[in-house]
Amino acid sequence: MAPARDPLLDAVRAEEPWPSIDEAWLDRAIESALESEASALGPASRASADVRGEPLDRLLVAVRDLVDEDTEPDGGWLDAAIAVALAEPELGPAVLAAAEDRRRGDIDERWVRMARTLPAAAASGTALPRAVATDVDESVTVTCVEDADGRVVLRIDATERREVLVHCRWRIVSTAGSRAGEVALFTPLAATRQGFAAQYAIEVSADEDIELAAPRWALASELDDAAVRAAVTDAMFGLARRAWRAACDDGRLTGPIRLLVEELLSR
Amino acid sequence: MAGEDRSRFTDLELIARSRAGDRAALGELLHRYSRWIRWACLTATDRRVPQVDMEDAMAATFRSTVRSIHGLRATTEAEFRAWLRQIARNETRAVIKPQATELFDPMDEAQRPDRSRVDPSPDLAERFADQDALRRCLESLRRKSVDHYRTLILYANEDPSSQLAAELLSTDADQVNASTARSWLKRAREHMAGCLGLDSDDGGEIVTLRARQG
Repeated sequence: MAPARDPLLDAVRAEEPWPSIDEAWLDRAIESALESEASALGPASRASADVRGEPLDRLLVAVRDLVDEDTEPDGGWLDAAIAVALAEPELGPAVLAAAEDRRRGDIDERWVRMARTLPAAAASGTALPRAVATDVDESVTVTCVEDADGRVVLRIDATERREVLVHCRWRIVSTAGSRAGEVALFTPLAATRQGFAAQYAIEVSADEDIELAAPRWALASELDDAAVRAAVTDAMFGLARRAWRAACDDGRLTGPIRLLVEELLSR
Repeated sequence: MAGEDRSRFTDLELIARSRAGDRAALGELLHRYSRWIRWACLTATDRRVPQVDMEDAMAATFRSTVRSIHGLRATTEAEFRAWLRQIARNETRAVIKPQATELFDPMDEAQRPDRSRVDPSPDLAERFADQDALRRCLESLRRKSVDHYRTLILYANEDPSSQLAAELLSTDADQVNASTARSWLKRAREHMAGCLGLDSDDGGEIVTLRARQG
């Protein structure tokens, strides 16, 4: 017997209809996928892909050893992956690098997500973000979360997965009024490849709202000099403002980084 | 094995053949799961998926599936669906990028649906003809609970079994069972009914809040 008509679902369906699927398009899309991959993965590139996949495959074997045969992949695999990452934190970059090379397969992406979320989850528990802001290019995201100790921190995620200098303004609003501030954070390469995010604690109580402005950022790719990088890193965390200024003055900081730093110094 | 009729193979047989490099088997598998992939793409985000984006997401899912099939370790259909669903979600989320900035305050009065604009008339046909009210209520539902919103849209468009809905609504972090899917549908419908100004005496077919039994 056909189910009774439901006017509410009918109305929702009329308002938000799903896109239809065209059989001819479907045939072409599947054919295209099969053909494009066949031509893209010739013998040489396939061998290369296999080599790049080795670290991931080794890790997957290690994870599999921790997983019962009957474990459902979604839950068990992730738990096991986290267990491996906790036990062997140095595996994180290798996992992510392999995953990046192979791009968005299911297991690959699980590793990527695990690698990205693990430090954040450890730092923030399961608390929902208090506020989120993304730059116009969606390359850098600043998230306001509570960490395990109850501190409210700003966390930065950079999709570029390169060294990024980020500047973000925040405003806290309460019945007593509002207060504002800003912060510059520097996410080093190794950290972002592991999904780390620079963090900065701010004082926000439970009944206060926080607003984040869209962050500004610049790549730190020109920071080849380790000493400059260290100085900028310190400066970004407010430890060595003089080193920051010196790096600007003697020309070691150039390009967008310098512009951003000078803007911050001028405030 | 040219000319072999692969349509007679079970999904598991096709999966095994696909992993072994049988591209025709993989093509048959993708055809067989194309509707599933479409569902997975359309439930991957909390946003509406326009036709053009849906096609991009599905095409990307096909390509990624072809590219990754040799590494698939699934030995059951459930594992395969979980694997496929994850690919579809990843690809869809890559296509449907989040809004540049979203500072949503759920308590913001300006964001709430304007209840005063809801026609108190008990005429359901007239009520649902008010697409603005419906749109506001859908948006308020989405803001209140993405899970409930996705559940409602899924049921509205596909009328799936509870078990199927549960699979599609599951994430790596949260495994949804059939009971939860039914519960989410019920809550979504309750929210919508309340938002639209429908109460328990207003349209029996609405407040029964039908939830399919898996």
